[in-house]
Amino acid sequence: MQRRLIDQPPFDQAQIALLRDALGDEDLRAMLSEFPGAAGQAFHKIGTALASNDLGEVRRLAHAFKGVASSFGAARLAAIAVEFEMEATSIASIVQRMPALADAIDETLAALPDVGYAPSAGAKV
Amino acid sequence: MSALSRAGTIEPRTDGNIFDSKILIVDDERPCCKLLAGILRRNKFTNFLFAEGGVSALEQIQSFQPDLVLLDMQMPDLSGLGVCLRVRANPAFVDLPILVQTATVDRKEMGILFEAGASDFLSKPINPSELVSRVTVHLERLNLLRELRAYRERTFQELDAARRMQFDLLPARPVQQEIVAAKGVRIASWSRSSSEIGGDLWGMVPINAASFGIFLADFAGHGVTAALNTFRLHALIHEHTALHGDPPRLLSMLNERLAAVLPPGQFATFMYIVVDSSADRVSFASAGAPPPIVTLGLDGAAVLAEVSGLPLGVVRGAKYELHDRPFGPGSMLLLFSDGLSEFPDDKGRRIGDEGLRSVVDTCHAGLTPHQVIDRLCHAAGVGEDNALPDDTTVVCVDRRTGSASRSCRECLTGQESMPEAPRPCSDV
Repeated sequence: MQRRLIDQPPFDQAQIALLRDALGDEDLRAMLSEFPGAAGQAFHKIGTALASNDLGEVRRLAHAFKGVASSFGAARLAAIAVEFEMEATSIASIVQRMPALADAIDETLAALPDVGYAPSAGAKV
Repeated sequence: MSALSRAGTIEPRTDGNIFDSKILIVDDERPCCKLLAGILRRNKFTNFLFAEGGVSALEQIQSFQPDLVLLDMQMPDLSGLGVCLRVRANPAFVDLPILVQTATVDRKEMGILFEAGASDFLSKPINPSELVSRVTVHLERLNLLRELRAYRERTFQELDAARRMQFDLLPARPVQQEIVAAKGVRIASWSRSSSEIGGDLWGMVPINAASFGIFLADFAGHGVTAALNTFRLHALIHEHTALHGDPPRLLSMLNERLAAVLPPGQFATFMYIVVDSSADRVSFASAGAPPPIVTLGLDGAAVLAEVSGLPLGVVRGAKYELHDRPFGPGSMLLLFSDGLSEFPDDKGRRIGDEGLRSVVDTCHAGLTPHQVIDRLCHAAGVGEDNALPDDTTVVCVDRRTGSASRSCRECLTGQESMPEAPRPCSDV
C-alpha cells in the first residue's frame, strides 16, 4: 500500500495542465493558494472525527477531501483519501494511516512550486 | 459538446445571453466552489452565488432563483440527492438545470440521481472544458425553453383575441331578435372550431319587415388562414346589402371577389337562404354547401334540399341557381357544415346528410330548436368534449312557434332520454 502511494506523484500533471488552460497562470496560482488551507483543514477535521470514533463522518470527510484533492490535481492525496473512504474498516486502521496522510500533505505542499505556486516558507500540516 | 471553440472561448448557439445567467454553486468545500466559479468566470460567466450545504442551497434556490445549480453530492446537512428531490417537488423549479458533481461514477447511483431529478452530472476531478460545455448546453436549453414558452404564450393570447373577434362576427342575440322580430321564427345555433379559430361562419342579415337572409360558410381547411377568410367574407356580405334579397347575385358577387383574392386551394362552401315569413317560402342558392334539411309544416317529412353550385373562390364566372320551397308555419330549416355530417364517431362511422335528415324526422314539435341541434350533434357523435377534426356549425330556423303542445311528428315513444350534448350558442 505504502509503495503504491509513493509511486503516485504529488500532482497529476495532466489535471494541472487542464486547470492552467482553463484558468491561466495567475488564476491557477490564486486557486492553488487555497489548497494548503483546505488540506490542513481536512486533516484536522478527520482527526476530530477520529477522536469522536465517528467512522461514518471520517469516510464522508475523506470523500469530500478526495474531490478537492483530485480537482486540484493533488493525485497522491486523492489516493490516500480513497483509501480512507473505501478501504478503512475501523477507526484504528485509519488512525494508523494518519501519519501517512500528514506526510503526503507535506510532500504535496512542498511540490506546489513545481506546479506554479510557491507558498510561504514553512507551510506544513 | 462543442460549445468551446478551438481558441477556448464559448460560442453560444442561441440568441439569448447565457453569461448573465444566475449560477448557484453548492459545495461544502469552499476551494471547490472557488475553482468552479474561477473556471466559469474565465469563460465570461458573471453571476454566482454560493451555498455550503444542502439546506442553504434550498434557501438560495428560493431567494436567488438561479438559472442553473452546480450541486455537490456529499454534504453534511442534506445530500445532493435530497436537494434534487425537494427542488423537483416544487413545480416552479421543474425545469431548473441541476448539474450534480460526483466523484463516484456508480451506474446504480447515477440512475438514482437522475430519477431524483438531476439534469446531468459532472465528474470529479473537475474537467474545465466539460464543466463549461455542460453549463453552456444546459443554459442554452433553458433559454430555448423560455423562448418557446414566451412564443407559445404570445401565440395563445393572439389566437384568443382572434377567437373573440371571430366570435363577434356571429350575430349577437339582440341582433337575431331584432331580425326575426314579428316573423314567427326562432333561431338556434351551435358552432365550434377544430382549433382556436376556424373557417366556419354563419350570420343573418335583415332584408325587410317580412324577410331576412341567413347564411353558412365553410372555408377549406381550418386555423388562421381559414379564419382570416371568414373576416373577408363577412365584410363582403355586409358591404353589399342590395344583394341580400337575391341569393344567386349575392353568391356570384362573392365568388368574383373571392376568386380574385384567394390563392389556389382556398375556397368556401356557402349556403344563403332568404326566409320570407309573409310568403311562407324560402329561396336559396348554394355554392357547394351541404344540403339544408327542411320540414314542411308540423306533419311534413324532413327532406334534403339538394342544390348544386361551385364553391366560392374556385373559378371566376360561376353561375348560381335560385331555388325555392314552401316554408309555412310549423316548418323547420337546418343548415350545417360538413364538420357535422362527416364527423367520425369512435368507430370511424359518419352520419352523413341522410343520417342527419332521419334524425330531424324523429324530432317532435315540442323540441326547441336548440334541442333539435342537441339531437343532431348527439346522433353525429359530436359532444362538448370531443376533439373536432373539422370546424362544425349547425343553425336551426324554426317556424314551429306556438305549436309546442302539438303531438310529435314521428317520435315513436317519446321516452328517449335527452343526451348530453353541446350547449347551443343561441336560441332566440
